[in-house]
Order: sequence, then structure tokens, then C-alpha cells
Amino acid sequence: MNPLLTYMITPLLVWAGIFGYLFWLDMRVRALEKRLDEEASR
Amino acid sequence: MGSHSSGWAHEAFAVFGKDWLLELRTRVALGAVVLFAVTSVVAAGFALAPPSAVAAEVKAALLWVVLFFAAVAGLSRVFVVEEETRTADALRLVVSPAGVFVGKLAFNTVLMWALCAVTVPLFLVLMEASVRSGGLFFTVVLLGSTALACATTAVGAIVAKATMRGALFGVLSFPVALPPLLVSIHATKASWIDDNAWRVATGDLQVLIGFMLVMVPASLLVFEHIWSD
Amino acid sequence: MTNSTMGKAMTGVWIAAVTVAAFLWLPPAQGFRSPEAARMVVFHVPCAILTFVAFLLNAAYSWKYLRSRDPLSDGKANAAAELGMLFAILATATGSLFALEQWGSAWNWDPRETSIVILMLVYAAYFVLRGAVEEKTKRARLSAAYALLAFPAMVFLIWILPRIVESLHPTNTLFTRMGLDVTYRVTLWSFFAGLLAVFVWMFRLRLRVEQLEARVRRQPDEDTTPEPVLTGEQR
Repeated sequence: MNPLLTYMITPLLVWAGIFGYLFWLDMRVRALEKRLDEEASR
Repeated sequence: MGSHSSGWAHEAFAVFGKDWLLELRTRVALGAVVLFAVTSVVAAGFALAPPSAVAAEVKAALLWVVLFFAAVAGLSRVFVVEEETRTADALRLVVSPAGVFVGKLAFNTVLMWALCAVTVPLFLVLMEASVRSGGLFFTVVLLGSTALACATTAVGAIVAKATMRGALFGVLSFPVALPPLLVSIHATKASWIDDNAWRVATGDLQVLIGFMLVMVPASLLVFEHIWSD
Repeated sequence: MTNSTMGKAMTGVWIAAVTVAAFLWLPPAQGFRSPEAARMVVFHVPCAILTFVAFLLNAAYSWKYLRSRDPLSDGKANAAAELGMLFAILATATGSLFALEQWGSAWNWDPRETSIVILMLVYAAYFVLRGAVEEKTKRARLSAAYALLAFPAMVFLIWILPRIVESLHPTNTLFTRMGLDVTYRVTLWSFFAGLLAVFVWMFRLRLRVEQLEARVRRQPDEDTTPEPVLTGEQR
């Protein structure tokens, strides 16, 4: 396998992990904000 | 609360005088600082014997490391004592922030000079460091120790209001004190062994002076915001 | 306030694309000891730039806090410091790996390397100070004060010391014609653009988390679970 591809896979995987985490966190925060807003307007 | 602009210099002098009067009576800070420095120098001298085998850069670095840690040991309390003895509020009422800060800064500076007066000769003797350019060395020690006082006084004010003051003071002071430390070490080494010492050290001296010119107003600005609360 | 999911997804794709380009499109750099490893520069420099940007933001929001006493400014200063620490670690890691390839040793006490370490010490000191003060307004005030003391000190460290002492780091390679080849510059700044978008995203996210915590704390006592948990509707 082209060694360059191997060097490239690691940063890509790292980025996938980081991006995935950020996206998930974003979704959770958004859900929580929505829930608090709903509770506040009750 | 009168804030006569020419008054702060008088106030600073008064604060300085009061602090030194107290200090000369109790000799607490002086004692701590000098004891620390002497112990460190003796320990270093013992561990590194024979000193002739130690390179000049190492000795120069060692000198300033000792001076810095002695400063941390001795200068951290300068605002804490006011909080502890409850005189801080009285100071706030009577003296302008500028007066308090400059007075404390002056106190710290003289404390550093006293520290150097004891430590440096002892160090030179025990570590067998020969000085080629005495004038430059004296200048570096003078400016460098003053710069250390400038770097640490405002940090002392910040720490006085927090907990874990001793350890905190060292941690917070170190990055701020690092620029003057680095150039003082470099210039000290030049004054000990270099041929054209003054020319080599010109940049260092400029940094020291520039550092003080920047940090004192910055410290003053910061101090005014945290003192009167 | 653009909070679009599309924007974030695009950022994710952009960074992945630039990373791939850095390996497959970018030629190995001439003039470097390990031309393949030189690609690291594309990742290292943007991280370093962003950690200093974060430091600037920290100082700016700290000043703003001292003037306005607005807790939001304090939150922003803190968020900036956290991101700054993160990117400083990334910059140091990528820089060390590159140094290992290029000069044979991971650490050389070159002025720029030293200043990034000191910057991390400043951030660490900032967090230690914040940890040592319980009360919120006091904490904000004292940490803002410290940030404003550390800032000029770091300016000295970063700009002045390398001019006095010899440095391994080249200067002027990013903007001038001499220095990095144009392909590298394009890739580097492309990565920077993507990373900047990530920075802004993380910054805003951090602020939102803080605001959520404040809102949850103001809630009545019934909901005392320390970690808010998503219930049925959001699964």
C-alpha cells in the first residue's frame, strides 16, 4: 500500500473522531436548550 | 477620597516608608529571602564542587534561578500582610491605588536589592565566578532585580485575594518573570566571560528596560481594577 | 447568528479534503531533510497561529470584563483560554514530530519552541488561578487581571527574544515570495481557514454549554441530576 496513504489515514481518523464528537456535543446542547426553553414557557 | 495627582508620589513614599519601618523592626521578609538564598547558594556550591568544572552559562543560570526563587519566597507577602492585619481597608480609604502600588513596588525593589547585596557576593565567592566586566555585571544585577520586582508586585496583589497563596504566587509569577530572567542570565554570562561584553549585552539591557517600561503601567492599570473592590 | 448544521458539515468535509490534498496533491518539499514529513508544516502552523489568536482574544475579553464587569466577557475569556491551551498542545505536538524528522531531536529550546511552552504555562497558571477562587465575580476579576499582566510579558517573549537569540524557525516564509512554495502556502492557508471555522464553532459551543449550566443552576430543586440526560424525545 502506498505509504503516503498510511500517513494520511491517521490524521483523517483523528479528525473524524474530533468532528464526530463536536457534532454530537452540538446536538446534545441544542436538545438541552430546546428542553429548557420548553420548560420555561410552561 | 482626595486624588491630587501630585499626591500619589508622596503617598507612595509614605507607604514605602511604613513598610520598611515595619520590615526593619521585624525583619521577616528579609530573613526569609536571605535565608533562602544563602541556603541555596551553599547547597549548590557543595553539590557542584569543584566550581571550576561548571560552565559559565550554568553558573549564570543558577544565580538567577536562586534570585527568582528567593524573590518568590519573600515578595509574595507584601499585599497579604495588609489583608491579614486588616489594614487593607484603611489603606484603600486613605491612599490612592497608584500610591499603594508604587509604594509596594518600591518596597519590593529595595528588598530585591538587599537580597542581591547579600547573595551575589556570596555566590561569586562560593562558585568561583570571575567577573570580567564589573560595570556591566553590576548594571545587569541592578536592572534585572528591579525587573523581577516589577514583574511580581502586581501578581502579589492578585494572589493576596486568593487561597493557597504561596504556591499560587510562584506558579503565576514564573511566566511573567521569565523574559527578564532569560535576558539577565544571558547578560550576566556575557559580563563574566565575553570580550565585547557591553556590545553583546546591549539587546538584553534594552529588553530589561523596555520590560519595566511596559510592565509598570500595565501593572498599575490592572491593580487599580482589583484593589478597590 | 449562523448556527447552521450545513456549515458545520461543510467544515468537516473541507478539513478532510485539505488533509487528503496535503498528502496526495502536495508534492514533497524540496530543501527539507525529510520532504515527506514537511507536509506537517501545513498542520503545525495554523495551530500555532490559532493559539496566539486565542491568547489575544483572552486578553481582549479580559480587558472588556474589567471595564464592563459583564460575566459574558469572562466566559468568553475563559473559553478562549481553553481553546488556546488545546491548540498550543496541538502545535507543540505537530512541531515536535516535525523537529524529530527535520533536525533529529524532538526538542531544541529554540526561542519559538520555548515561547509556546511558556504560553502553555501561562494558560495553566490562568486555570490554576481560576480554580483557586471560589466566588464568581472575584474569580473573573482576578483571572482577567492576570491575563492582562501575562499578555505584555508574552509579547516580549514572543517578539523580542527570537530577535536577540538565534532561532531554528525561519521568518517570513508565509507571506513572501521566497520561502515556502506556493502549493504549500495554498494548502496551509486552506487548512487554516477550515481550522478557524472549527475554532469559532468550538468557542460558541463552549459558551452555550456555560450558559446552559447557568440556566440549569437557576432551575428549582426538583431536577437535581448533575448531568442532564436526554429523555425519550431526543433519542
